[in-house]
Amino acid sequence: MTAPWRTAVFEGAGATLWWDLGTGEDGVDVWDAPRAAGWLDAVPREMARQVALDAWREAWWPGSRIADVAPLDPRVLAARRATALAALDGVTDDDAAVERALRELAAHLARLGPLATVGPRPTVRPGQDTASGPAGTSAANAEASTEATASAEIAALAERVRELADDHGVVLAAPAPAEAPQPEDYALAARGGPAGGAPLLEGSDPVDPGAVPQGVVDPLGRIAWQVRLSMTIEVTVPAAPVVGAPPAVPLVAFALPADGTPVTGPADGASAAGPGGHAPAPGTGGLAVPLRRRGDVWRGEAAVGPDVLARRPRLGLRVPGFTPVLGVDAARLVEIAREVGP
Amino acid sequence: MTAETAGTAPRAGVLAAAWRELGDGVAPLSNAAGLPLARTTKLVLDPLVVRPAQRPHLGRALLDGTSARELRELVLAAGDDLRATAAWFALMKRERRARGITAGNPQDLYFQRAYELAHRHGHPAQDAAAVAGKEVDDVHDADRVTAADLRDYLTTPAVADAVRRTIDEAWDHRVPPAAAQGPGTVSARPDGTVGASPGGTVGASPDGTGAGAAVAAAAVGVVAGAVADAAVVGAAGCDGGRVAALLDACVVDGQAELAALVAARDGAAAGAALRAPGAARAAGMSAHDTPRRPEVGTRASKSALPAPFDRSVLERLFGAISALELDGTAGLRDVVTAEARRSAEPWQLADEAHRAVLTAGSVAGLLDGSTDAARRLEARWRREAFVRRALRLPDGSGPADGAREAFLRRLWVRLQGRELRGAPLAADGVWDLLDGAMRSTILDRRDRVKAGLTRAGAGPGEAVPTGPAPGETGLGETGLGETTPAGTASGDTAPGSTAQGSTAPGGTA
Repeated sequence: MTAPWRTAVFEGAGATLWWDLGTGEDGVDVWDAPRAAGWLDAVPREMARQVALDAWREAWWPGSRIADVAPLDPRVLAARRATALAALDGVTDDDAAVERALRELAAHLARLGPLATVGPRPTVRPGQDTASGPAGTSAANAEASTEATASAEIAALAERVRELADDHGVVLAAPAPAEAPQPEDYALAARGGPAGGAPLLEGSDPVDPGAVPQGVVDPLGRIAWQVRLSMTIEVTVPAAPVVGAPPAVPLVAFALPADGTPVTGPADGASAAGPGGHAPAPGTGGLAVPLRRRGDVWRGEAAVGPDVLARRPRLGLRVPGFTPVLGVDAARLVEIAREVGP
Repeated sequence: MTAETAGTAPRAGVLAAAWRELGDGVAPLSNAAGLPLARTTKLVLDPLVVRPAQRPHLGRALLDGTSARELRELVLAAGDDLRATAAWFALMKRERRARGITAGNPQDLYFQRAYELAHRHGHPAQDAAAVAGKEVDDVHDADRVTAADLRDYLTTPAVADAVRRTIDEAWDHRVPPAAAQGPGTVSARPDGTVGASPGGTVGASPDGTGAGAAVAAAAVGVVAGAVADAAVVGAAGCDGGRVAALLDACVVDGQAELAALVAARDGAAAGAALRAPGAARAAGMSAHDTPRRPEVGTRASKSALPAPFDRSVLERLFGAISALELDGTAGLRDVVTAEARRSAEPWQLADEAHRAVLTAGSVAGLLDGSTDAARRLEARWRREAFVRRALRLPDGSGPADGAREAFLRRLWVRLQGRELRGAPLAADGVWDLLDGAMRSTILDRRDRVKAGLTRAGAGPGEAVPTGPAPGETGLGETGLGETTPAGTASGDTAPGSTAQGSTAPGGTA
């Protein structure tokens, strides 16, 4: 198959369908021909493609303040996937795929509140001022009729999944959350200036979206760092815009190997101190800065040794337990998102 | 991959084509592409129309021309029944909605009843709504035995004593491991099987690595010890060649091979071998060195179940009891007594065919590439590795971390569930069971990782599932559904750890 990060996958009974969203190629991996014979020629590819695309959006949609790509609502994606999977009941590899999607939806609803409170579907607005309104309610400048249509779509979707849940004995009724889902302020916050005088050394390195799960950092952001006179390094990374509370992920900035080889395995998180703590950093190779998300920025600092000045570090991100997906092209990701749509 | 050869047709393709010939009348049983729903096939088409248990030649994955024609004609001949079933099902759903019932999956609960109604009444006519309503009421009859009833029953002192005695009696009279072996395996083992020794010290060597691996190794010509793995001890004491033959054949057919295993009682021998010290623990079926007699039980929680052999009678039954649609104490007593006796059987299963399947699963779960089934199960993990990256999920997709043991536990739950329901093992059942158990083991792990990522306050690291996942509880095993709610990663407990946060069975009491 193709590069995982740009591949939309449909797991059918006996055959896996895939679409390379980067090249437009698609293919079928038949792994059990007699089983696949029950549907492969009878099901329109487009039905399977919609399921695959929504799964791809959930995983890779590059919500970004920098590129002005509004985040997608996980409730809408899960609801759409559940209904599309129901249309393919008996065709999916997983006989319980609909229930699974409904349970995911139920978990999102419990976290974010009912689907009916969702605003119009966020859209990609290329070239628009980044200081526009928050996701979900960002259609303020859009046509009111578009908004009404989108709301009607959401209402229809909510009704459809309610029936679907009834038909599968899944309870969707979520207790109203203590507070309504608060889409984060989609606008870029004013950058806090560095404290503590002029830095000894500073730099910034690109984010590798494949190194972190969805919804953690802005895929087009840069890892900005400064080494100060106090021999501490401060790191900031723009966070990914998300609908609702951001996932709590133990994000760590660390020094990439000097030779530029990509990190292939889950980096050892043991050297990372707890949030706010200072990890011992004898050299850039051991440099690990735990980051905390505050609003739209991840920030953290750690002590560094003098050798950091001798050899300029190159920083990357890691999440303990998460194996990086290699070769992700953030700019291409945004292009694909604009082609695929929300 | 079995190539489709001239003169054969894939069964699934024949069924799909025949189904589409039935037309719009079966829409309530079909998906948007006009194909049968998963449960239509599993609950109606296969068991009630095709009935491969009675017509084994129609159960194969590939059919010859004659069988393909017969299958098509069977489906078309059942057309009126199926259209009437669809109409009754739609009516039952309407009545369900009118009554505000939300419990259970309507397909699981109503499909077979709708088929019965179709048989009894033909197409719905006048009074149909009332008839359908009565049927719905009957399904959701409040007098049906529930998990809470089961608990009340088992915690009645006199009943608990009686069940305790039944367990003791059964365990006191357990067939010694050596005698559990069939006549075919004790003397004649031409292919180098490592069997139970006559003295009753069973095949699994005390260190839990030797004999079982040797069985598999001998069967496939691998150098003995190369595949040494504690997880295979379940296969000790049986004929590795026969097991391998089943695993090579079962994807397409395997009826003769299964029959051979059953006749030789290989499953009983392998199950009895688990009584050797350390063997059941190595297989993931018990936390104890030697499996103990089950408790009667006073509490059960589907999120905190011990390993299968360590489950109390209550824990073995509470998940499935309401689906058995028992009407009174007499039925309850029979089910409980049968379960008490089952616990003393090899593999703690009563049916030799089921023991054979579990034995085959314990070997296939090695994923050592030595049989067709093992290779296909292994391929599932390879596909999962790609899908995990495509879904941007933490990897953890290797079959390590107790996944084999989880697979075997899940397979046991499914087989025990079949015994409770008295479901016959159809011709194509072996591979469906093995493949289905591995699939849900993989998917439930994926679910848990996914839930961990979206849950605020939790890291994405995959909880290492050392104990039964919620889906291994037997809940939902009546149909196709698994019952692992998203975000129940905490449902994992180490085998044998004390159940914490237990709730009343079914949450009803």
